Amino acid sequence: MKQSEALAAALSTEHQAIYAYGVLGAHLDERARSPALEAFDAHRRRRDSLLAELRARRLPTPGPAASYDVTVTSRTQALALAVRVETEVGVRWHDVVGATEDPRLRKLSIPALQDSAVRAARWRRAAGTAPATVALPGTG
Amino acid sequence: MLLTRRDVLAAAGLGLAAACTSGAHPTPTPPGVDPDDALHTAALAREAALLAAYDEVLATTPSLAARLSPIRAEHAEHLAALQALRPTPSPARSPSTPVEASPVRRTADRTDPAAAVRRLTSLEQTSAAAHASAAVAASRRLAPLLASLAASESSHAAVL
Repeated sequence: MKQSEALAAALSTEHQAIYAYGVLGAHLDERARSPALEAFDAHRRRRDSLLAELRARRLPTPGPAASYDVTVTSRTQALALAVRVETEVGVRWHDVVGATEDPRLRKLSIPALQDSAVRAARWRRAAGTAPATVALPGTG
Repeated sequence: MLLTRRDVLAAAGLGLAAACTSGAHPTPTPPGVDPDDALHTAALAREAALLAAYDEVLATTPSLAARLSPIRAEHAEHLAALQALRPTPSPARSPSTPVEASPVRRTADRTDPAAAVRRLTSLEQTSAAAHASAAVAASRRLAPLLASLAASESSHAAVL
């Protein structure tokens, strides 16, 4: 995969994650709402860092879609969506790691993959899914 | 995926020297040597050390089996994935010193479940950081796997 394509795909999933956390937080109990807000902020920061790297390289910066398929009506669905979003974000950042040898992009993408794996594991645990972790995050 | 203790110890011995230095400050590589080799060997050693640490805790504290066995199984997958990506045929060398694969201290508290989980959590964090540093320096072929191992181990530390 070309570096520019991998970066654009990562940006698109970060847009999606920000949208999804904006929707799902309302369906979580108070204990889970705080980590959801933290995740929302973390994805915004990651999006902004990625936008800065893309602009510095004069690469395409796809914007968010008008809406995403994120129907949520229950706590169970909210947790499942959070796991799905973090899994997809992890796959895209994992793709970036393999699409570049630029240390700046490696230092952006590797922690992004780690953070998505940590959040996915916490959401799985909140949902009662066992095991909460996966052996190879980012590989689908 | 079945691993014998001999496999684990062999991998640990192979990578012991490389494991002592993280991937953060790679030394210049002589021509003809794949720079991934040292990173790969060190990653193998980290996984072998983690497997040995889990095995020791599982042996001494069976009450933790339900909690630790799934994570131990993921480390076995890590080791297998690294072995599948071996950059060059295994060098026919043996460690010059006997290898103590287990980093778990043999102290009086070794059967205390809380203390054992704390040690494993710390080991996961250390290994995740080393994998992540190595992933910055590695080739496009090796870096995604190292990054994935770092992510998995960060998540282990978060839920242990």
